Amino acid sequence: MSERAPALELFRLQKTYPSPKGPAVIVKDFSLNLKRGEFVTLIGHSGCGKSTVLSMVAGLTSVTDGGIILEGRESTGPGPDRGIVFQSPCLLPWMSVFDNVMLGVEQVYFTASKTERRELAEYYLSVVGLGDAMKKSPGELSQGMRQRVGIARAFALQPKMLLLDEPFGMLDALTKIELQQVLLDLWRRNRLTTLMVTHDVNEAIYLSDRVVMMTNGPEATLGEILEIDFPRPRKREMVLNDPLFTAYRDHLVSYLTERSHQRNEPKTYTKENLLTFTSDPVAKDHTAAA
Amino acid sequence: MKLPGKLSLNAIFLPFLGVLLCIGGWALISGKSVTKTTTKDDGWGDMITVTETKRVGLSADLPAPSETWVASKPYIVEPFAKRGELDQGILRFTWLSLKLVVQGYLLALLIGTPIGFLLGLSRNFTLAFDPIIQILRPVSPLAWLPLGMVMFSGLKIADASGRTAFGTSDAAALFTIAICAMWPTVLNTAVGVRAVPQDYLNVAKVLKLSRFKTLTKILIPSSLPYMFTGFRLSLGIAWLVIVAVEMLIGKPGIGGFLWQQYNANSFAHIILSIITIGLIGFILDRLMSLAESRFRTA
Ligand SMILES: Nc1ncnc2c1ncn2[C@@H]1O[C@H](COP(=O)(O)OP(=O)(O)O)[C@@H](O)[C@H]1O
Ligand SMILES: [Mg+2]
Repeated sequence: MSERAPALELFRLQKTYPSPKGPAVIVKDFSLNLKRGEFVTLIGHSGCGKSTVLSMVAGLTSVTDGGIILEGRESTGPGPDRGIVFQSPCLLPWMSVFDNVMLGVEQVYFTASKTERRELAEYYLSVVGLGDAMKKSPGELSQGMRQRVGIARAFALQPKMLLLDEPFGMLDALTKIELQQVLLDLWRRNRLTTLMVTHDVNEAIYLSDRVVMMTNGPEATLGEILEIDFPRPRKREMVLNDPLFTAYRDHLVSYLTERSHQRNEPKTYTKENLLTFTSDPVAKDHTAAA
Repeated sequence: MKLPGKLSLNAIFLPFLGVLLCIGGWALISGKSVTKTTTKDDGWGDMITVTETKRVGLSADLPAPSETWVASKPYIVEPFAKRGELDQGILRFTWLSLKLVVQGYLLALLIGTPIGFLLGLSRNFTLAFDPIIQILRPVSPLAWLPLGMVMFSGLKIADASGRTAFGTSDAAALFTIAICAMWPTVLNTAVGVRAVPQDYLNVAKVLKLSRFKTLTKILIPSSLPYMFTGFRLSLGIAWLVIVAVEMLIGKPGIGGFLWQQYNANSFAHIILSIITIGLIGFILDRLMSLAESRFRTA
């Protein structure tokens, strides 16, 4: 397999749920390629189908039509080759933090020795700052600490890719910033191909290489793509104070408020051809009414 | 703080008051013995005195609290005495009953828990067996026992001296306790397994856990609180059933004692037995609740 081949290829994904009024098409013709080691975020209005796309890639929701190719292989069901972090980390409350991580490690590294597995779990837990809390039960941890465990658990499996669904959505602003840093630190070491759903525009710009905008549902699909051109490793203050950041932000917000209902051929934007809010008040009123 | 002190005083005082009121009501309706001495003509012209003892009261044969206490005292102050097969201290009888209950109860858990898991896990299993479970569930122990006697007729396991150590009636008793007591375990386990959050099942799916690991690491721990509720209710039923079973097969035990004392017209001992049965049942339920709450917080 050539290095150029996409790490993840989503080909005309479609998801239909049966409903009393006939089949409800939630997502339709969603096609997207992720390069190896690329960090892509998915934004769109709440309820448009972001989680549905992510869950199909995770294999936890069946695909109605289309295909998912992960590292050259069609992927049909769930598996530990995709590390998953959801909004709530769903740790098993009857196990210690360490055992929660070990449960996956034992599955994936069944050939490794017991000591090697222990060290692996300990390593990832200490990297996310939980070296002292390994023996605690998840119930004793704060929301933010639990999400750290979720992140450690995902990385410890050394998966082919990482899937994150609003992982910081329930955290307060300060904890959120901390955890974004934890995620970036780990990601810098491993460079996992990452697909992340968020509704936080700042977070999307700060973390990703590309921001994928979804159209409104039903039959949600790819709207626009925005390439983020900040060098890595990124420093939070540098990114936030860069005028380019505001320009990216305006592009994304104007998409969400003005263009997300449109259906055009998906177009990729870079820092050279950014859009901003329309200056035409008539058009503005029109979208507000829509 | 004054309020908690006052509250806890009430918490001690009011139960006492309740018990006293009940004993008072009992004393009111129960009978008492009255001795009447009459002088009458014996038919030959001589006057004789006749002493008659009669019980009077709303429920004349019901022993009064004081009579019950006097008659029960030997059984209570020497709770472990053994004066004969059917004349033993009250705790000795209780112990015999408890041994039988524990055996039948464990049998109920052993059978009920796997059935509960199958019901919770498999829709087809539920479709196939739920109707029959719903029909068997309300059947009384009095109905199961004769069937047990028939099923295990002729069974005899002898001990070293040739006496029957485990016979038809023992097997029938265990069978009856187990089949009556297992339903809460079956149903609560099924509910618990169905209530395992999808998130936890997704963990199993994503990690590709084996069936065995999914069972031991996810399904059982997650449904344990429900299972324990079932276990507690089952123990209550097992204790309920034991009395009926002992009455029918005449085994020594608290229920057998009750029935035998009824036949011997020692009505006070019926009340003693009822109070003992109630107290033991209450203690068992408390103990199980303790275990249950431990798993709920875990
Ligand atoms: N199991 C389901 N059955 C029917 N409709 C569903 C189901 N899951 C999600 N949906 C619908 O799919 C749409 C997209 O949901 P979701 O992907 O969760 O949105 P998002 O994550 O973008 O907020 C919603 O309108 C939701 O009602
Ligand atoms: Mg969502």
